[in-house]
Amino acid sequence: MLFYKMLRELNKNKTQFISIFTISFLGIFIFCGLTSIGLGMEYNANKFYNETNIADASIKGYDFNETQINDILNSKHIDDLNLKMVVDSTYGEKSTLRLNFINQNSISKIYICEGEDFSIDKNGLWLDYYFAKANKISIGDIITYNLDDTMIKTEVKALIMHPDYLYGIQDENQMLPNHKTFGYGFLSSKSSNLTQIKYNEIILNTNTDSKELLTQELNSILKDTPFILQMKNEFLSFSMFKNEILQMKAVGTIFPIVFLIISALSTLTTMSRITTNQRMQIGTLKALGFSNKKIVFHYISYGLFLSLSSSILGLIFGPLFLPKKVFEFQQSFYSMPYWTSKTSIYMYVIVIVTVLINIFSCYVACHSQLEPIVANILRPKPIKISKHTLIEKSKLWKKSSFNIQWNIRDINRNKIRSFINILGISGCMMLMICALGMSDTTQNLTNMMYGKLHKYNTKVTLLENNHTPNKNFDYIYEGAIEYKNKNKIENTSITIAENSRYLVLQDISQEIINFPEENICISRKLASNLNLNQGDTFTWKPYGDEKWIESKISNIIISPMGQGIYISSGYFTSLGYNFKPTSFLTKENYNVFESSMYKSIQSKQSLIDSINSMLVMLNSIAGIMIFGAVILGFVVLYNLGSMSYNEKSRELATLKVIGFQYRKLSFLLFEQNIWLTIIGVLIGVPCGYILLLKMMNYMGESIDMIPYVKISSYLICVLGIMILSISINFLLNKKIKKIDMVSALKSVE
Amino acid sequence: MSFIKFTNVTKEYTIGEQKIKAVKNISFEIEEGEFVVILGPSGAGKSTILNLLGGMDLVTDGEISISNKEITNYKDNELTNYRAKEVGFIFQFYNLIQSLTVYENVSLVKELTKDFLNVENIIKSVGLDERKNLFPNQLSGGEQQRVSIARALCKNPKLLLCDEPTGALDTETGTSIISLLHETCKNNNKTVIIVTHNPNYSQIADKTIHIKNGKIKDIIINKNIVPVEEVNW
Repeated sequence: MLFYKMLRELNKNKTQFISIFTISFLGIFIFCGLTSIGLGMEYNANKFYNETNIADASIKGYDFNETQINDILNSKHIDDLNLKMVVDSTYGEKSTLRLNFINQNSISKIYICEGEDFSIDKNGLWLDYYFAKANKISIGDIITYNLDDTMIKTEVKALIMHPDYLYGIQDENQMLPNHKTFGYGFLSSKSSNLTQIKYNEIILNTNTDSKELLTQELNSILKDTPFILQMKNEFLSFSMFKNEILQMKAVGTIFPIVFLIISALSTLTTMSRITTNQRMQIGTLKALGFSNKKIVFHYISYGLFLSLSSSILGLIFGPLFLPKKVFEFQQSFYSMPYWTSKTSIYMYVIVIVTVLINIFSCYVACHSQLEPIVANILRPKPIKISKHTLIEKSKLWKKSSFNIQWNIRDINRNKIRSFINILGISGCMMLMICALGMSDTTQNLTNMMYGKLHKYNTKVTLLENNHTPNKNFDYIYEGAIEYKNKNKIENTSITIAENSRYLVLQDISQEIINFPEENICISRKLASNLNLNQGDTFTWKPYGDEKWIESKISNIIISPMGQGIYISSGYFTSLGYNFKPTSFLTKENYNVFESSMYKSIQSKQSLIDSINSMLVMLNSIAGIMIFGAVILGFVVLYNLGSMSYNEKSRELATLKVIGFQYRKLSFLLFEQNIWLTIIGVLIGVPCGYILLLKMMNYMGESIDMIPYVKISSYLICVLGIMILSISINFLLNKKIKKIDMVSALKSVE
Repeated sequence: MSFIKFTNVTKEYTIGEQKIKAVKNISFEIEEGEFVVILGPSGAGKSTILNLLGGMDLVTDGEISISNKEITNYKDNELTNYRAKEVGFIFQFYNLIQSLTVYENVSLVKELTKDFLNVENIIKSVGLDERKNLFPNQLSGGEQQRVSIARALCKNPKLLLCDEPTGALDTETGTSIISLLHETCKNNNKTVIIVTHNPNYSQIADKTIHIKNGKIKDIIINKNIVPVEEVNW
């Protein structure tokens, strides 16, 4: 019978319970959806890595000779190795096709999507699946590409994916993959028509994860041959995807926490109101002989019913609908064959915890009504003697208007409700600021990088040792260095510039500075990882060099993309090195350069475009966040508003009887709403900024974004919330008109 | 030994810092099947006696025994069990569960005891057969009180405790409620105790316990019971 009572009362308090249901459903929906995406990505990535036997490490160099290769294969910590020659060719007008000539296919194996299996004895090209799709190439086609000024024709044997190119970007200057302009292909080095194969990469299966051990071993084998050792964790694709998973999980955690806290608190207030109103009924049930346990269970069942049904629905529909949409989207960035979502016990645990929290709220609410002496419950509860708050004692109090006095007392009497109100608004504000901030930050990044710092129009990467100095070009060197971090040796990138005409740096306060004539600049993210400050000493050396250099850090700079150290060529040569540029920057347009003369030619516009395409992605995430925020705000405000109207109906009726006009009454309540909204907004703004900061931290190791929110975005958020708050107030004001003065003043049943 | 026995019962309340003695050292006995009226002005301590008797409140001093069981020593769960099985309560303001229908309100009892009576029959016997699917707020006061009586009877308790059962009703409806209670007492051998400030009840009661200022003023055994219909309320 008490079950019927529950159902009918749920129905009677529809507004409140539907809102609690919606909030906890959305919380669980988003949490389970995003978590299942994150877990699915993790699972499938591992599956992909295992199936293809991803390399544990790779050695990049110029030309390895046979004895070196044999020695490496025979060394203690290395189980197996494959050799690779990686060279870029040009396909069509502007596209780069990266060719991988391999001597064996046992490490980081090719994953065949369509077509023939790879074999060392077969001639032909195993081509990037997405590159083929974007350039409308199919199996059996014979494609032509330009390799070292020779036009080569090869038949496409299969469309493939590869763990090395899971995140297929040309270099770190490119932020997002563009399958039309960059792709890769695999060929057998044995069967290819190339006259000379110079292996420049060795991929390894090792039995150790220690980079130091491997470095030691390789140093003793390779001696003077320069090389770069990268462990699996440092592979670009591997780390990008790992960050993506982390980011997904982070969004999936922050978002629902806001929703679940609000759902639990709403349950608490709603149930407190219900149990207070039903004090008599509780007494009656006790007088009839119902045990405390049964009564508690009855009120708990409200929360149980709501949270269980909303959680189960969220648990089912989250992983059902969200992954589809998100995976569709991610497939355009990450080339992976498997895209399925995954559930885990962790999700069920969180769902159970949610249910328990809601049940606990109900328990707290009804427990306060369950006094041991039944006779006391049946007597009306003694009215709490209201204490005067500090504000009321002050002199200001007497001078303030009735509206202010009434509202301060009302907020004071309903502390939890006012708190949830503020929490709801600040949550809404936080999500909105973070959402708009994400696209603002990216736009700001583009403006800052390509407006302030990179002043060239075209960046041309040189073929080896092929440059004739030109006054209109600024030559730069981009490469790798090793540095000492306590006792460990790690690596990072270095940028050496001739002068600061087309490329400048910015310090922490975002002031423009030139490349330092002496000493070095270090990027902020790297500095904070190493705990270095301005004036500290940084010990480093170019890759493959023997001598360690100690440089003073003259400045810490903010580098949006690519972390590392920045020095001038003057300082570099003063250290005794030869400055051998890898590329040059120029104001001239990209189409004046002959593509066959250079390794690659990038126009600034194409770099800006690739960032802008990321903006599209961020905007869609922002859209989801704003949608969530608005629902959250609406539900919380409407729910609390209608609850407070119900509670105040007697007081309002009294005021109406006394002669307060409708307009005065609605303004009275409006004032309180505005106060709470303003407080919520004030709290929400910094929270949103912090959330944005957190989100930007997950963007990846090489990216250092400065959170930036436009003034107009702040205004939009504040205005949006004010409009939301005011329109809900209008909706609720209709209730004032409906208040029946006579019935409201009759005695309570 | 008597069915109900109050021995030197005292009840004190503390409100704020003030101690109020609601019931002062009272003793009386009630036999099984008796129709008893506890009479007294407002604030005399009548309801306190009823609450103590119903296991809804605890004595400060003294003993209460019901069918030879000392309920003053009962623990909370024993008291709950006692209320569930042995006592039927009828309140001045009916105290029905607003969100349950007549039938469901009476059926609540099924969750408390195994010895409940047939719900349909009980509803019929209080004359609400045709209204059993309505909600309390669709019924008149008298009808609501009948539901409350049905709910109390359905448990088949030995003891019916009524707190001003007609206090919120007009005379005519009140009379019919009282005669329903009186019939139940006499036909089914239930002990009925009514708390009221209306002295006319004495005419139909087997015993009237007169309370004043928390003490018993006198106990009158009525040899000359007037039929309910002939009482001039």
